[in-house]
Amino acid sequence: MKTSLRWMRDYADLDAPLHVLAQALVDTGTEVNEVHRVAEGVIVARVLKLEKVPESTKGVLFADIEVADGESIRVLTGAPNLRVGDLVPYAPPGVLLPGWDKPLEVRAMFGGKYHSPGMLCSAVELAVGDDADGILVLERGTPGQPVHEVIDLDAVFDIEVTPNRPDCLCHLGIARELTAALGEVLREPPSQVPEALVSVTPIEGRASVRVEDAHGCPRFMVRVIEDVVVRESPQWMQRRLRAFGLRPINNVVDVTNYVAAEWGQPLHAFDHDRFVAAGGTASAEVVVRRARAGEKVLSLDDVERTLAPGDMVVCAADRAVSIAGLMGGRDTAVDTKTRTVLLEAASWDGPTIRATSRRLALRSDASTRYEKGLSDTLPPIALERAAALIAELGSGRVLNGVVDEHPGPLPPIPPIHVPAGFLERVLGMPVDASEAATALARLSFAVEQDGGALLAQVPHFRRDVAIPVDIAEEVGRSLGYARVPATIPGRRSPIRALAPAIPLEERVRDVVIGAGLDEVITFAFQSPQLAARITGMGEERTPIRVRNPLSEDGSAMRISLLPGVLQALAGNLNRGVSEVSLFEIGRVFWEGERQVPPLGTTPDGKDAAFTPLPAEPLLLSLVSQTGESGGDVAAARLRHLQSVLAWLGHELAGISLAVEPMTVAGLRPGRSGVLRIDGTDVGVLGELSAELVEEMDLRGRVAVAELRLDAVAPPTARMPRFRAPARYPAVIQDLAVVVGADQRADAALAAITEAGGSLLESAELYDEYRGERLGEDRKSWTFRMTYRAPDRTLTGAEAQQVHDAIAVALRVRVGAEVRR
Amino acid sequence: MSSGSVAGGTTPTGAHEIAVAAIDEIQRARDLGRLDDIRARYLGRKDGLLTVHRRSLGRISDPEAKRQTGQTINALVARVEEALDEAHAVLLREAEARALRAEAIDLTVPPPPLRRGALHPVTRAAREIRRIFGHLGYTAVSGPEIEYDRYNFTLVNQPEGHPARDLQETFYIDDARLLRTHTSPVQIRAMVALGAPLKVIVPGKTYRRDNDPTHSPMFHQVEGLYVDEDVSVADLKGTLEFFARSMFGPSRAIRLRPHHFPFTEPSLEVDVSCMVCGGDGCGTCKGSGWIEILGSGMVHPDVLRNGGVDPERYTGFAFGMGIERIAQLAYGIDDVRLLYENDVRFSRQS
Repeated sequence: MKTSLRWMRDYADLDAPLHVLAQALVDTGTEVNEVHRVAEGVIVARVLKLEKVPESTKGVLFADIEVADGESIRVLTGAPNLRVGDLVPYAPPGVLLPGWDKPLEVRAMFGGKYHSPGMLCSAVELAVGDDADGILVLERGTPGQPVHEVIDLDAVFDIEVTPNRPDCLCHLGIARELTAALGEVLREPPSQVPEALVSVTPIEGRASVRVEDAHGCPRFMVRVIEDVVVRESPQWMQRRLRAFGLRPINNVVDVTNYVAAEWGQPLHAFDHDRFVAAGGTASAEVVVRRARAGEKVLSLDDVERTLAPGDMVVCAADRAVSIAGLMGGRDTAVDTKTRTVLLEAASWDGPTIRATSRRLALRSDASTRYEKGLSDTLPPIALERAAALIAELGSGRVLNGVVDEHPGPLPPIPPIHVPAGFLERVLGMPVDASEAATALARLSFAVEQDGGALLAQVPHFRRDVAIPVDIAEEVGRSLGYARVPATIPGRRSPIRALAPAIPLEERVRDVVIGAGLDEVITFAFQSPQLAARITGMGEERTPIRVRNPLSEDGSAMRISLLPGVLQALAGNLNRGVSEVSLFEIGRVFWEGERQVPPLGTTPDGKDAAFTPLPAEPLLLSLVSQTGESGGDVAAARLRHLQSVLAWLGHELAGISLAVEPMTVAGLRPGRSGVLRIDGTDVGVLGELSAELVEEMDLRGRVAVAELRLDAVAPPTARMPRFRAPARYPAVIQDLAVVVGADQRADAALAAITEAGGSLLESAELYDEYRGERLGEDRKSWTFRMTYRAPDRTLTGAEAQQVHDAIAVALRVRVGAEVRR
Repeated sequence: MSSGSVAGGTTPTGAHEIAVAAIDEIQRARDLGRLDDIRARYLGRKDGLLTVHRRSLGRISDPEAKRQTGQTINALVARVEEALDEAHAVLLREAEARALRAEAIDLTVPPPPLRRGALHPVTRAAREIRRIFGHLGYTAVSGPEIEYDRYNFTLVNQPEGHPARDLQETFYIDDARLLRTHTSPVQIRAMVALGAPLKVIVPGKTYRRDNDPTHSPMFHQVEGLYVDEDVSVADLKGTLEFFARSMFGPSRAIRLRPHHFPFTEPSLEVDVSCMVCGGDGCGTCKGSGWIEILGSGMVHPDVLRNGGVDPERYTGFAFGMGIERIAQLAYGIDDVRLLYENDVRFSRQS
C-alpha cells in the first residue's frame, strides 16, 4: 500500500526526517518496502536568458538555465510567467514526475528541429499546488540543489501491512502507528456532517434497508445526498488519490475512495434514481441477501458475473445490483448525470467476501479490506465523513437522517486481563507496568493499572487483539525488542532423549559422494508422460496428480526419482558437461501404500474422514553417463553403480544386495536387473534403453540405479563387531574353469561356498574372459580361493582336498571344466 | 701387450707390467660385466695372469729372491684388487643412478583426478543448520510432504477463510490433501507425538504455487520448535543469535522485528547484520545494513493446545527459515534459480 506523507500530516505533525519515520514503522512491525520522494531528481535552476522560438506561434521560449555553478543548458518552455533571474524547478531527463507513467525523456519539438533536455515544472507537476499554468518560481535555493530541500515535496511510503492489521490499510492507521511510535498526538478527521450541509428533508421515504442475512452482513448503513453536481474532484484530492495509486474519476467516486484510503472502510455510491428505477419501486428499497443460483450482475468493469448461493448481494428491491464487498453494478453507477447519491457503508463477513472473490477471480480494493475482517464500528464514521465531502465537493445537501441496519453486531471485545509478571515472563525482559500502560494508551487502548497487573480495553478497530499474549506483542513492539536480552534456555532436567544417530540419508550421501557422484535436487512434480515412461522403483504405480499445477508438465507427483535425475543429466550434457555421474535422495509418493498414519496424528480421529496420505518412501537414484558408444565403457559405468550400491549395503546394514537379472521396463535387455533383500525387491539397476537415451535428449550410454533406502537400512547406524584377525597362514589357490556363456556367477560362488566348508575363508571371481578361442557360447572364470584354518597352520594337502571338492562341485552345479 | 710370463720363472718386472696393464684396463672398464672379465683374466684362480705369475714363484730357488718377488707380486695383486673394488663401487653407483634416473617421474604432471562428488548447496546448508541446532540439543524430525490441509493450515491457526491462506499459494491434491506450504504442520505432529518439553528441528521440502526469479515452486525449510516451562522471547533471541553467528560469522548481530504470523504471538522476523558490508549498507542489504533471514515467534496458545500441550503450563518459541535463502546468503549465490539448474559446474565449486 502506498501512503502519502502529506496526507498523513493531516492527522499528525510527523516532522521527523523520512528515514526516522520509516525506521519507526519498521521497528514497530510495519514493513516499509520503499520510501519514494515525489519528483526525486528535480533540482533548482536559475533562468539566465529567455528567447522566443522563431517557429512558435504560441510563445514557446528558449530558456537558458544555470543548473550548477557555472553550468548552463537550454530547455524549451511555454510558461508565460518567467523572468530572467528566477529560481525554478528543473526536471532533467530520467526523472519520474508524480502521476506520470514513465520517466521524462528528451523531447523533440518543432518537427525535431529543437530538443528540450528535461523541463521546468509547474506546481501541479511537482504535486505541491493547483497552479498548472505557470512555472513554479522558488523563493530560495541555489542552482543544482535538490528541490526537496527548498520546498516541501510529498513522500510516498510503500508499505506492507500484515493480514491481521486491516486497520493499517489507510492513512489514518499508519499515522496512528507513527504517532504511537514517536510519542506524537493523533488528530482524527471530523466524522460528522456539518449542520450547514444537512437538508431539512428526511431520509425516510427516500431509502430503506432490509438485511436478510445478518451473518453475511452484520451492518448496512445508507445516507442520501441530493442536488449533487458530479464533476472533476479538486486537484488536491486527485493528487492524493494518485499518490495512493488510484485513478481519479469524479467527485463522488473519488470521495468514496478517498475516505476508504483515510479510514480503511470501503464505501459505495449508487445513483439513487437509477437504483430506484432498477427496483421498480417508489424509493430506494435496499435488500441485502444471499445470491440465488445463477443470478447475474453486470459489474462496474462491464463484465456480467454469475453469482452462486453463498455470495452476498445488494439488491434494489428484488433485483441484485451490486456484488457485496467486491464491486458495484454498472446499471446503478454514478456518472455525470447523477443528481442524487445513495451512499452505502457496510460491514461484510470476511470469509464470505473472500470466497466470492476467489470464485469469481475478482479482487478489488474493497474486497482486500473486507477479507481481513473490518470492525462494524467503522461504517458510521466513514459514512458521515464521505457524505459531508460529497455534499461539500458536489454542492449538494445530505438528507436528514441515516438508515442503520445493524442486525449482527460483532461481539464486543472483552477487556483483557494481563496478570502481574506475565509480560516479563513472555518477553524475557523487565517490563514496568506503567511503561506498558503508556505504550498501550498510545495505541488507543484504555488501560487500568492495578499494581503490576493491567486491564486493557481494546480499541474497536483492533479486533486482532484478544488474549494476553496479544497484549504482550503490542507492548513488545512498542518498547522495542532491542531491549530483550539474548539467553540460551536450559536448566537442570532429567534425561529426555539420547544423542540422535546420524540420519540415514546423510550416511548414504557420504558414501555416494565418496564414490564421486554429484548430488542434484530435482522437483518432486514431473510431467505425467515422463513419469509413466521411466518408472524406476515406482513401477506399476500411478502418480498422484496435483489439482492446480503450474503447468501440465508439473502435474504428476513423482513415483521415481529417475526421470528428474535424467533430466538434470540431460541439462548438463546440453551445457557441454559430459561423463557425468549424478545422484539424488528424496521422497516419492505412492498412493494407497501408507501402512500406518504418519507420526503425530491427532488423537481426535478426524483424519479418518480423508483419503489416507500416500506412502513417502525415501529413494536413492544414481545415474552415470559416458559419451563412448562402446559396450565395455558402459558396462564399467553400470558396474561402478553396482559397486556403490554394494558398498552402501555393507556400510548401512552390513548386508549384500542380491541381484536378479531380469528385463526391466526402460532398461536395456541383458543389462538390467532388480536388487533384492530376503526376496523383497528393493531396487532396480541397468543401462538405460537406447530409445530412452534418444528420447531424453541424452548422449552416449547411461547406467541407472534406484534403491529404496528405508528397506535397506536399519533405523540406526550399524554397530560393527571387531574380532582378532587370523593368526595362522593362509593357502591361496587359483581355479580356472570354462563354463557355458549363460552360467551365472552367483550360482558358481554359491557352489564354491557350500563345497568350501569352514576351511574356505573367501572366494573371489577375479577374471572373466570371453574370446574366439573359447567359442561364442563359452567363457572362462578364474577364482582365487583363500583357505585357512582358525586354529592351526593348514597343510597344502588339506587345502588341495577342499580345492578338488570345489572343482567337483563346480562341474556338477554349473558344468565347469577345469582348465589346465 | 706381452704377458710378463716367463718360462723359466717369474720376475718382479714382468708381474709389474701385467699389473699396470690390468689397472689400465680396469680404469677403462665402463660396466660391471667388464670388471668381472678383467678380474677373471688377471686374478682368475686357474689361469689369471697374475695368479700364474705367483704360481711360478716356486721355480725361484733363491729363498730371498723368492720371498721378495713373492712380496712384490702380492702387493701387485692387492693393488689390482683394490682397483677392481674401487671401480666396482663407482660403476655400481653409476648403475644405480641410471636406474633411478630411468624411474624418475615428473611430479609436476597433474595427478589423475580423484574427487569426491559435490553435495548440493542446499544439502550443505541444511547440514550446517542441523549441526548448529544439534549443538543446542535439537533433534531432527520429519513429517509428510503431502499433508492434510488441517495440519498445514487449520491447526496452525489458519482456518478456512483465513486471509493468511492467500499469502501461501497452495498446490492441492484434493479437498483434504495438499503439498505442504511450510514445515509448520510438523509443529503439531511433533507436539502430538513427543509431548512437552520438546526441542526439535524439521528440515524438509515445501511447496508453493510460485515461480519467478526469486521463488521456486519447491523449496526447503527448517522449522524449529522449543516448548518448555518459562520459555521467553529472550530465549528465542539468544538461540537465534547463536545460530546466526555460528552460521554467518562471530561478528554478526541480529535484530528482532515485530511481524505477524498466525501461529505465533508475538511474531518476530529476524534480521542479521549484513555479511557483505558488515552493516554499513550496500547493495545486498539494500542499504539498510540488515538482511532478513527467518520468521519466528512465541508459539500461539491455540497452536500449543492443538498439539495437545497445556498453554497454561508451557510456553515455547518456533522459527522457520528457508534453506535456499540461508545458502544464498552464506555462499553468495545471487540467483535462487541456479540451485535448481543442477549444473555440476555450479555445485562442484563446493
